Amino acid sequence: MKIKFHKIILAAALGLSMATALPSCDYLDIEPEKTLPGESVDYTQTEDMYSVVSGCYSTIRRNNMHWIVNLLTIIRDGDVWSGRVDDQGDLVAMGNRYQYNSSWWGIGETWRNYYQMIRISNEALTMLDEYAKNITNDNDMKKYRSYCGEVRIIRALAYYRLAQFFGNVPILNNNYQDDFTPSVRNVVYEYALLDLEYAMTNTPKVRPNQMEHVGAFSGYTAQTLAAKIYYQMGDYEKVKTLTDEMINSGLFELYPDYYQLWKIPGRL
Amino acid sequence: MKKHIYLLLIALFCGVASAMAQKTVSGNVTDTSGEPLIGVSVTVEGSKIGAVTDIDGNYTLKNVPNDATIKFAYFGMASQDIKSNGRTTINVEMKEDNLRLDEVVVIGYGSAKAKDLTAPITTVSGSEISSIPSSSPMAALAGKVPGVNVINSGAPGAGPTVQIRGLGSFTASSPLYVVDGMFYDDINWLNNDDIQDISILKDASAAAIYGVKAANGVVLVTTKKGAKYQDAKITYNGYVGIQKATNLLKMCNSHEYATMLMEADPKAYSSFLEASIANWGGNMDNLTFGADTDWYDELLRTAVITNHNLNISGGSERATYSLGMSYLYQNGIMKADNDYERLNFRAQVDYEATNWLKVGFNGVFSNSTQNNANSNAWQQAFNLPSIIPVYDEKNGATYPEKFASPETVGFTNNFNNPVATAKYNNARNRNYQAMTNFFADFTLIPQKLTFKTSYGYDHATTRSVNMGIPYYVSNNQHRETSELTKESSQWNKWVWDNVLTYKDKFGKHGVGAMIGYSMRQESYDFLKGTAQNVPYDKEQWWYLGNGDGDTRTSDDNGTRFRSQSYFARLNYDFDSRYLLMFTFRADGSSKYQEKWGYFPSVGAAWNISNEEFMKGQKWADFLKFRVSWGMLGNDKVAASDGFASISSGNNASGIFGSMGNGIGTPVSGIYDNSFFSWLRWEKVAETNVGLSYQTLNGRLSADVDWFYRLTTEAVISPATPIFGNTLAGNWGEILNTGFDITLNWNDRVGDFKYYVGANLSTLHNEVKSLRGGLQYIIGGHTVNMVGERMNSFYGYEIEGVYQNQAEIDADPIAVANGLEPGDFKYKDQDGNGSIDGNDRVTLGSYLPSLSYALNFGFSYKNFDFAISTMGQAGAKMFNRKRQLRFAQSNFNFDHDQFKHRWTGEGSTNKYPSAKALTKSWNVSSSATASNDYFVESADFFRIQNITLGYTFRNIKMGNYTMPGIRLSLTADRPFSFFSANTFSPELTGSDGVHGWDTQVYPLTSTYTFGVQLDF
Repeated sequence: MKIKFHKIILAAALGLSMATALPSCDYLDIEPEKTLPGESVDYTQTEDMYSVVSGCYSTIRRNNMHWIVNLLTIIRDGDVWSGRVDDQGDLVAMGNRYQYNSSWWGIGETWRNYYQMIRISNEALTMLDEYAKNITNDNDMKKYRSYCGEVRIIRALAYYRLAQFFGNVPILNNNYQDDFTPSVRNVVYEYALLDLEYAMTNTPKVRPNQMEHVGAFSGYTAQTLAAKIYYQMGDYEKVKTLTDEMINSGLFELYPDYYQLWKIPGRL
Repeated sequence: MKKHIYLLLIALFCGVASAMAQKTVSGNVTDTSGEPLIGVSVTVEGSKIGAVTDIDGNYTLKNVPNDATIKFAYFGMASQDIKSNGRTTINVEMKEDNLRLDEVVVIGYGSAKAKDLTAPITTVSGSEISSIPSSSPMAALAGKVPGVNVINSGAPGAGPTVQIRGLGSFTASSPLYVVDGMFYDDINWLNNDDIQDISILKDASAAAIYGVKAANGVVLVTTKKGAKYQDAKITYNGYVGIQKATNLLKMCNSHEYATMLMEADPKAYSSFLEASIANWGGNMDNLTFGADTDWYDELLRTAVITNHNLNISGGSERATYSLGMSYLYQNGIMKADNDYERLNFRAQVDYEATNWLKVGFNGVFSNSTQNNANSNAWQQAFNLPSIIPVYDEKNGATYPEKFASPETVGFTNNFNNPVATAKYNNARNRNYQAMTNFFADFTLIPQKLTFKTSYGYDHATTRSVNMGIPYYVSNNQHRETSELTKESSQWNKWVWDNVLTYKDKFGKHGVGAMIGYSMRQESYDFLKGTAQNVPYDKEQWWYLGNGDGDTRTSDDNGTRFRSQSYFARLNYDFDSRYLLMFTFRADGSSKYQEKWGYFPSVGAAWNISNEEFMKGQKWADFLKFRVSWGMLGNDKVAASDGFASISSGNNASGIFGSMGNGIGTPVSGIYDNSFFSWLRWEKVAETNVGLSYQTLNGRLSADVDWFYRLTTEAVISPATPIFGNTLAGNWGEILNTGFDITLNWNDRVGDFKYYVGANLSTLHNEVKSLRGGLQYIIGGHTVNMVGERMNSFYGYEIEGVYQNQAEIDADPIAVANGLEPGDFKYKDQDGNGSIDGNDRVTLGSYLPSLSYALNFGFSYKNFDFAISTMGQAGAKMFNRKRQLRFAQSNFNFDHDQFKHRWTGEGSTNKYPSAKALTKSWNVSSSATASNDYFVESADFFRIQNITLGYTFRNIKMGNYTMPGIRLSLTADRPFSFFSANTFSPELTGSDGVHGWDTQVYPLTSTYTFGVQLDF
């Protein structure tokens, strides 16, 4: 069984090739393609603070205005039902006969969308607090509190809608909570009112079209929502106080012809 | 002088002696009936001398040493080693080897004799599948291998879904395909004729050598190779056939549909019927209609399929080669542009450069074009009632063709004209694939130690073009401007394997060892672009650059994974009675955070029939008992889930300043939506216990295997509480266990040879555990509940149908929900007097608990006949087609719903009334809160293939004798029997794994005429 010389060369060559291939323990250490590292926020750039609030407004567009969420919320307000019978059976049952099927997808979707608004608002407040650590002057401090107020109005709106639609719902004090015991509806209203009172104090009491970002929630938006909540709770005195203040502020006036409010001049 | 004479004499003697030491040996080889055997391999052991018997069974070997051992080998016959003992003529009669023990089986990184296996490995040879008309070789395996479930799809060029030994993963369950050493996710690009054989490694001990990719089973494919000492063998193989849709589901015609609607609610629905009558005639009193369209009939046609293959292979003393070309064309049965065309070229060359070095090359080049149909058309055909015609000349708004618009009778969203959907579709994929493999095989110690290094490279490109032309059918079904989408995907893979194999025998001890090292890289690149308003009249104008610049969008993606592996196998056998095998593989993958995984396996077998106490008995020719255990990984799961970053961009920005008619501007926004988890690969541990038995001279054989397969760290995605985002994690455990049984009988009576075969496989599938104490995860379509089968349907159990008002009044549940006679009565599982989510139960799952196949065939003189059948029991499917009524109560009904509906007291206790079908109590929007009216049995029995062939042998054409021409007639899937209200109980598509029946491309029966020419 003599091994020929050239075979020894071969074996050596192979051994060498395998040895060089047995490599680099970092052959496997490559970065995954296309994945950007988690974007982080630079909290020293306090002039960018509003971007957090803008992100919360985007949830109103994406979550609150989801077609089924909007639809269900309006029905609950007791407004008009189309009378269609050929639409989704569960929706027809809700609209025509007030029969609710808890496993219908629209109800779950509504729940999830409002809680997304709450979760993003919770995160936004934490991020604003980070910005606040880098604030050096009073003016910016005022802005910070005003922005917090705007976010809190968004959060209160979500809780208001949830309590109206579902009754008793859990309150999320933070996004990592794992106790989801529902709170009684009035307690949820009170939680929302806390947020709204903060907003009424800290966010300018002007018209939305007078705000720094035209169309943003103002202190008076908070006040309107608070009045609605007090109305639901039955505290009519409070409703009167809040609404009187707004009416007497001189900032608002009624549209002369309600019908025209929904029309574009010059078009039918 | 005397010395010289001595030397001369010695030289002379030696010369004569040496001349006498080598001879020319020739002879004739026949089978037991005296027929000459062509192509028998005759070799001299330990040398390069060899030949192959010719058309008369004759062979000639030159320069054969006197003491040589001549080996005769032929597939299907027992090989014989005969000592030449100086003879010049050696005639041999070869006997059939029913035991097939010496057959060589391809296993991972090597091969072994069937008798030495400790694991159940099934081999299917290429000749068994080459005549089956299917575009993918895996589709031809349906019913052939117990434990392998092949679910076919009908679309041209589409490959099947394959599950081996149950479903072991929530996310990724297809097996690993290894083609000549290179890893693939499917073999749809190979032609059935490119394949020499397929080995299926079902159990863990066989598959463990493939480590982290092997959890779902391994399919080893070997493409055709040449054979030594063989003159060029040219073969042509081709067939032409037609495909027809079978088992068409019968829908309601206009009268039946109108009857259902008028029974349900005349006030709500008569307007649609009146509109149809106003436009196209009819009579409201006796509900007759001028428009009565059978939409499926309008969508279907008979389609042609043809395949041609030309093969040339052969070999000399030092080289073997095989070259082939195949062409497949499959047209689709939808009356639209849909077909699949593929051209493959294949080349293989092996050359023994020296007696210690063999080199070789192997390549398959595939080029295919697939025109895809819009499969939405099938669901739309199911939904659209027959009260509108296909075309409507009177409708001025429709263009470019005058399709009838559902809006004409008042059908708005959710209704589409399916013939228009099928027509206005231009989607094409062009695929190019090149697989190449180079190897060098070094013999370091002859017969004992070899080293093989091989490098494989595969490149595949798919380019797809989807052109949406502008058209108008209705407000719901239209496109204003043309839209062009182009996608380009590229896959590049290379693998470098180095394997050192040692084999030796010491007395009664046989030892084998293999160690190997492998390196791999796989990368994927994707680029996509869209543009609008691209001129569309000529295909040459379809370029993104020709569209509106400001509508152009683009996107891209890519992945790149690297792996390194070390693997080893040790086998030991004592006297061919006791066999032992260990394998081990260490796999490193760049895909996951945790890089290395270790996969061992062990197998043992006892060849009982070789024992002393078994000698001389007659009841067993071969009896083997085997046990094995192994661990495998599944790296098809994603590397991570969720988002770890802040979202920004338009989606995260609010829009401010919209006043009056103004649209406002976005203010750049961000939000933190982070939720993230790293994932690991899934692990599978499997135990297999089996028995192989052959008796009655090898005529009867049986194989029984029991397997227990546990998947741990299965990736599942439970919803996070409150927010509803799903986040994946390695938390699940799944169990699959069952039996695989194969029985075969083959015999001959004179010229009549026949066989009967059966295989049976049982499966018990169970979710063993989910995350922590989680008991169930509800998905969109199914529920995964601990203790139940995976992906079970979930809903209410129907006790019956309310027959009369008295029954309603007596039942508080009926009163509370405002029910009427004809509605379903659900079982109140928890007995609390109301029906809610807690009264739901699991209703079955798409996994079959029993799969079986029966085959029979015979050959007599020049005729051959084979019939194969297969069936499944225990699986259920969800009739989503019917359940879609939740979104639109006036969708069409299928005939079965009309015929058996409840019409009054006592008419039926199983079917609801027409009115009930429009109510959400009976037809829920949520599939997981539905009821068992929609869950139907997916049991089926099918005659899979009937083939009849006739062979002409030794046809004399002047000076040339053609060895054979075979003509065959095949019916593929001619008859299917099933009770479900569907086109096919085999459901593929994105949710095929769950048995979700919607938009399914109907299955076809194919009838072909084939010709095989051997030159």
